[in-house]
Amino acid sequence: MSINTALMRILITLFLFISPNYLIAESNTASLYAGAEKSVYQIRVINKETGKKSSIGSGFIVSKDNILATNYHVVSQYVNDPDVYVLDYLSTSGETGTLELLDLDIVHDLAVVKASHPMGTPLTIDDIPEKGARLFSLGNPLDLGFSIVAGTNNGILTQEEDGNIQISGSLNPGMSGGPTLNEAGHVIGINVATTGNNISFLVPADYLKIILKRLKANSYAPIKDRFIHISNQLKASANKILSILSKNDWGETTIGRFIVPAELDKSVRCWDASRRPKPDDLFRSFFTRCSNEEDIFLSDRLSVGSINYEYLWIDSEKLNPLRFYRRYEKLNSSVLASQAGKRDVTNFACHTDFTTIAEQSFKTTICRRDYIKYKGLSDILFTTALVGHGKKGFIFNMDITGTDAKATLQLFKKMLGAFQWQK
Amino acid sequence: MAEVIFETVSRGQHQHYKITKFPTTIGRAFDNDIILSDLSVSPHHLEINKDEKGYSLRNISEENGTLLNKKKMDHVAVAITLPTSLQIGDLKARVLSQTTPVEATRIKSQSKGLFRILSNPLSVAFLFLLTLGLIIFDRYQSIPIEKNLLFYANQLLPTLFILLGIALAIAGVSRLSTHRWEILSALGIASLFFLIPLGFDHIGHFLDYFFTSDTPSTILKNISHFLVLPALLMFYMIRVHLTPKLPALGAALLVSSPISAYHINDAMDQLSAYSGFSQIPLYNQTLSSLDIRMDETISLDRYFEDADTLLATEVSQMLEEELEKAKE
Repeated sequence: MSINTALMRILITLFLFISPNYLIAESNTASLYAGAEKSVYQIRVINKETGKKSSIGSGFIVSKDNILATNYHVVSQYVNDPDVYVLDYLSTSGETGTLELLDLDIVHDLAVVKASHPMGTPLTIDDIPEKGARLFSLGNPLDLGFSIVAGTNNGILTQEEDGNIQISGSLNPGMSGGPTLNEAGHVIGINVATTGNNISFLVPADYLKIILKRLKANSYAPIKDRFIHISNQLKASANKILSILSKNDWGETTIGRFIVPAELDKSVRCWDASRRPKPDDLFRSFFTRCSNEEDIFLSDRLSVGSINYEYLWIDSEKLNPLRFYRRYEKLNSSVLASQAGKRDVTNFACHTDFTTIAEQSFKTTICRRDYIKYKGLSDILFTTALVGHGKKGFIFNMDITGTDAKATLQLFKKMLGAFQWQK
Repeated sequence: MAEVIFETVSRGQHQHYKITKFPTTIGRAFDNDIILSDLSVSPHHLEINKDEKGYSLRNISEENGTLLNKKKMDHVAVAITLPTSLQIGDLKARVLSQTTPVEATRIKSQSKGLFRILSNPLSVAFLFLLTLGLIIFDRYQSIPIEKNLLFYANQLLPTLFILLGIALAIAGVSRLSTHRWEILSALGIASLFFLIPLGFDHIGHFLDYFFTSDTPSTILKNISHFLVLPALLMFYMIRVHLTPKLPALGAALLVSSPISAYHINDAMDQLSAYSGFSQIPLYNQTLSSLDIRMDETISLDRYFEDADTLLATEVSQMLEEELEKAKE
């Protein structure tokens, strides 16, 4: 009894303490809501056969009264299979109508669509406010109807190349593609993703500006071949990233007798993944795995843009070379963690030969496969294993998906040039 | 006076009867000149006669009757020329002239060539111990952890049991058909059955690394899956059971067919997996501590140049095929 009363008292105190702030935020949100409600729509991908929605998201009017911006991943099914799906909108008052794809930015997960008639007042785009500013994300969380989530700007994500904005606030799946407004009611970003722990991400509205400018110059004509358009964007992005990577200072890390490049970029993180030694082991092995921990969404089962590499060192005093190599050989395999299927990519073609790296002999393989729909885009897999040392082994694996083959090979070569053997 | 030989063949065994008196009666009853105890033969079945024109046969069986050159005989005497083939009930028979040449003497095979290894106790013991030794060595090589001898002995047990089981099965069949326990040869054959695939594995691995290609091990693996067992069984049957080559081949294929069928199933699965789309890059992953290879080490510049052009051509070819398919 006494505990309950005490708890109640604390709760009331707490409530009284925070309530003034809470009320101010509420009134601010309410006015924003009133202003923006008519400009935000639910965007739905509908299966032509069943007439039922297959995915939902949000979108908002921007630039012109019949132009809506949303995420690419909201409309991806429609973009990839226009014969199977149609795109439509649903307003807060329940009106619906079909939409047509105008343009997209695959790298930043943006799409611009067009309705057949005027839809409301376009929202204006504003610059990103300073860190800590209050932001309001609008959308359709979980198909429950229009909703607004307040959050705080935590600044541009520097870890990622495409510089998403990180906010503290809980975006929900259906809110993707909706706008995030500053306190003046202007769009500063487009809701894109959440980690679930009250941390969410926005695409800076600057990238939307670029598409809108392009569209305006073409008097809002839809793109002709979407796959060529997407391939070109992916290739340009890959080349940009590869050139940044190859210009970066990689730093050095030591694994066994080798000094090798460490993080290729701020966006790349390396982790130790060494196997826990067992007391009766007759060998030692060390394992470092690096990844850019991000990818570009293409479809429900396909994404590209991953960069992974790993270094593995194994040596032994007690094993004879035959026995050592049995173990070493088992570690020498490399696969690509990708969902790409037979309609997406060709088989791998591989080339194996013995090469000199850091004055040592290596058995080196490069495998390449190309995307069928996205012309000029490849997955490249590189693997090399030290040979000629009876009791020492070293393996370097690297793979990059959705990339330009020539530029990727250049990067590999440059990395291998940085390998050093410590005598 | 010229004499005639009457030959019957039952379960591969030939029986010969010399006929000196005409007419000669053949049947199961004890009052016949030639008594055939096969139950498909009538008590009085057949008569062989001779006159100035030559020899003649008369079927007197009312039951299963007689086939002369695969045609059913009635009860009329039929003139024959020598040699003549008959079927009396289930028994195959021939009427031969006594000047018919006999087969060349077969030299006792045990003493000849490769088989000497399989019939000499010392060499069989060596083969057996070599097999066990290599299996233990192979296990030892593949486990990079400190283990005691008991562990390896334990690892060996299943193989040892299977090996002895196979040897016993082979020897048992020999005992039934030749009335001899050919336990030594059987043990030798069973040892080879384990030794050859193991040897092929190592040779295949060596060659794979040497040529930087998976082809040698694939060929050797298929040989050990499909050819080793039939070849060993055939060899054994020819040498121990003195079976003619063709029947030995047939029997060997028949006996090994369950194992072959298992491997065929496996091979088909693999073939269908590799002929279509595969997520897995196929490249030669062998590493060898000996580092004996045909390819020399080349510079990175040259390697990247080669890889760039080769892969671009190969992939563009695959892409073209895909686009062709898409058009259809």
